[in-house]
Amino acid sequence: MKMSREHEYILEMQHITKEFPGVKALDDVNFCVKKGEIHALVGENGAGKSTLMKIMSGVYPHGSYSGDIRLSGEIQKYSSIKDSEKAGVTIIYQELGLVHSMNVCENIFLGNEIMRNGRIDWDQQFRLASKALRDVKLDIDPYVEVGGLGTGVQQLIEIAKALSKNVKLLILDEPTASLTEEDSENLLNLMKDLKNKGITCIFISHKLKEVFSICDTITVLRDGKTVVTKPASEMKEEELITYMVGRELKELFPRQKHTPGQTVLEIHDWSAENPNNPEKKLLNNINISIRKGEILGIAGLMGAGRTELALSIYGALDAKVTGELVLNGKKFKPFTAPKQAIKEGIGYLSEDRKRYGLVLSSSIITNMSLASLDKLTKGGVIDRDLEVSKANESVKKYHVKTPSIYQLAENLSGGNQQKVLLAKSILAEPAVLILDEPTRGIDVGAKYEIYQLMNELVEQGICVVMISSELPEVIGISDRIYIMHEGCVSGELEIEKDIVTQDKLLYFMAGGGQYGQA
Amino acid sequence: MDKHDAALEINSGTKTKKFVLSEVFNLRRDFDKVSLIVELLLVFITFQILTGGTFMTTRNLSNLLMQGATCSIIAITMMLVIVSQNADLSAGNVLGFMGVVAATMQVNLELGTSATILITLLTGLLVGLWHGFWIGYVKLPAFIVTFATQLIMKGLILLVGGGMSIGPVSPSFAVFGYEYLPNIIGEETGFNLLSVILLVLAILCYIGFSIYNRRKKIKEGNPQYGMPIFIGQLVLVSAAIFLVGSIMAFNRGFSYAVLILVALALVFSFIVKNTKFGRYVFAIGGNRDAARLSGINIELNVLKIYVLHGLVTAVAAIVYLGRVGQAAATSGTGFEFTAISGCVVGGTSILGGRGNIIGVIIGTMLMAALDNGMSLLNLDATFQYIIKGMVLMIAIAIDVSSKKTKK
Repeated sequence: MKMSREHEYILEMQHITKEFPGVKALDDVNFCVKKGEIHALVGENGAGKSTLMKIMSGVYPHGSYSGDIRLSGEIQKYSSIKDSEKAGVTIIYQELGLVHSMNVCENIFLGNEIMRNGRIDWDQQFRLASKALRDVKLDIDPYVEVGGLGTGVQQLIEIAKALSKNVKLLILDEPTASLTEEDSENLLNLMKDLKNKGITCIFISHKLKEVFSICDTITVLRDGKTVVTKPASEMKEEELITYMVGRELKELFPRQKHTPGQTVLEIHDWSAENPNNPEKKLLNNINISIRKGEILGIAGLMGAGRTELALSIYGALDAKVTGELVLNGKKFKPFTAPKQAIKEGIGYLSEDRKRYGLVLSSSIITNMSLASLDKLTKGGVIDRDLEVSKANESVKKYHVKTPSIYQLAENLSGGNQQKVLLAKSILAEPAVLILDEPTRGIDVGAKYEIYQLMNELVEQGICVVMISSELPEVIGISDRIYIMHEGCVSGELEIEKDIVTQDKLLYFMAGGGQYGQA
Repeated sequence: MDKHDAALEINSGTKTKKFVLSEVFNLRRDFDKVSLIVELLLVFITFQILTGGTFMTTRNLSNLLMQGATCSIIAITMMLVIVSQNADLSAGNVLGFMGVVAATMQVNLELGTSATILITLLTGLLVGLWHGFWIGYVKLPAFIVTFATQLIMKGLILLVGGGMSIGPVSPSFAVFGYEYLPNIIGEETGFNLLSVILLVLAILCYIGFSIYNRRKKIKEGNPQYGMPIFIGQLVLVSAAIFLVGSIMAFNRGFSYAVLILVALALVFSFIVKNTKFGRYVFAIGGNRDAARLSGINIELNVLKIYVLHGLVTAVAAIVYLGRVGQAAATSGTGFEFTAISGCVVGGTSILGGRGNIIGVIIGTMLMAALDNGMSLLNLDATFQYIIKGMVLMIAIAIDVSSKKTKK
């Protein structure tokens, strides 16, 4: 019996329980992965996926949890990531771990340098790096600096790095979250290749389409427990969502009919210089308008200038911006500090919530009130009672899962962190709220809540601008869409008037023709 | 919708019990506090044994509080500097310079006490603006800027004082460093009634405030410790305040230096918790980018931090000069080290974003106790340096590793 199991399963995690102060993150979880399969691990944010992966890779050392980990039948007691890597387990995180100032070859062998006679054998490393890059079908010079490469390429380099270490079990945590459609496609194909070469993969993703297109088996976690493990072929998408959310979700996008009112924000002849390359402008002569009572979607490929547009309106772009901004009929020069923008009623929520959003070492309440302290301060002193009641209200309203508003932001899951940030933006009472990839890395249930919240905001008369890379989301939620390409607006579509399809969006995203600019 | 109901239930308060056990035995969360108390006990017991009982006499402990007051005052705003992910390596020499300036005015120019204080504070303001300009607006690394200031101050001390000791300062100036609260009922009782009354009032205030806060938080629906633990905490802290206070109150009374320290501690605790500026300091240190995108003027707030720090350092200089009576060329040397070590020992994260006033003062007093104890033992300066360096090293190691395991 034992022999056969050894052959069948490469990884067995049994009765894993992990507790954090006040929270049981994992509760008797069983997770077994067969040799040579692609196994999807899905679940809402806070379901315990990351915790499980951290146990599997030794980030949480043996002894800090209860339960057993077996790799090819043998019990593993990792005390650090090094141990798990030695055993052949490599995890590639959503936030990539490459050193930007080093070249590809140096990165691939970082910590694993090939030595000869006490010095690094660069020739050998170069050869092996080239081979690893070929394995991931990447045609780049190993001596190119990583910092200048795109996210998709960096992701592949991470995989090449893992391959060079003779990986047996490769764990990919949200690998396609920040990739364009094309790069995602590449990555998924590569995963199929690796599978054919006998490498087992664990694939963590919120993108269910991808899960169904490449995975053999699916395990669903919910609230720290294993809900189901089933072959992908025996599961339907709706069924999977029900497992994840624990209730039936009727539709992915809660579209509501809005009636657009007067124009609130306009920008004219809006351009931004590129500090690194004067030849190519970050934003080039953009004219757009935002109306009351609509959700405005902004689509575009990575690097099309969507985030730069948002930052420039918010006064936070590190570049010279020219043009004119009209807000509720009042004319402004481009803002030079977010303080001015916030004062005039513009809010912005970054795509990178850990880097540009949260103060992780502070509590929920101090994070929530940070952008609206002016409104909470009387005679130089913060009205703590008012602050507390606002924070408690927000926690209830946006369903932030936490024992207390004094919980530190670093102890919250991704979806809850995002809700805290949304609350923070809304407490500043903006007239226009720009949300940059508001649902990135967030599970289906929390996504739905955020869409509903956006609808509510529009009903309250706030203009909502949503930047998104997920085309179904852009089409499903927006009333009107601008498409950007290389710093310009290449198209404008209205859901009511035009027939909006993914193909049409992609056409404009690729720069297909100049559409009528508003 | 069951998921939401669960969340609401957790937030509806009253569930105090559930959190009690995990909260109380949560060593990691309270790691800073617990380790501080352990270190404190360790140092005191060790010195008590090694000095054969002279360390923990009222007289010596009272001395220790007086000596420690100067650096503790500096440490209060040093905490803000460190929390905002900045640094100040110049505090000691800045203090020394202000001491020389004040002493020169008192002795050579024969200026009055209030004029001297005013000019000393003005000097502090200027140093603060100087640092704020270079660090806040020109955005040079604080480490280098204050390192340069340290050297400049050393030069200025020689320039103004000519390398001589200047003193003594007038008795009315010395009050702040040297004198005690007046004894209102005469010597024969053996204790200072005014101080004892103050001490009792302070403890009553603490208890009243804690109860008020607890009630409010429960009303807000935020889980709190259970009643027995709350009372235990009250008793312990009250006893600690009483013990520390009685060192002075039942002896010669509270010294002005200690009262100034307590007053500044209260003021800055309030600033940290209840003003925009206080919040911004922690936000800037916790996540500079997020702070900027939240509409915080980082340049201005860094300037404010250094201006406050300059002013508070000036206060420390006044207290110090009052106590020692004269300004020497080496006055203040190494004070920044004591203050920075005190901050770190007291739970301020050198990674920014975390810190608290009480911890910082206890931490600095601990460093002062180390100084005091080693002097009592007549330990050679060689070893004093080595030991103090090691303590700072270990404190930082504890800080960084405890923050790492959190993630």
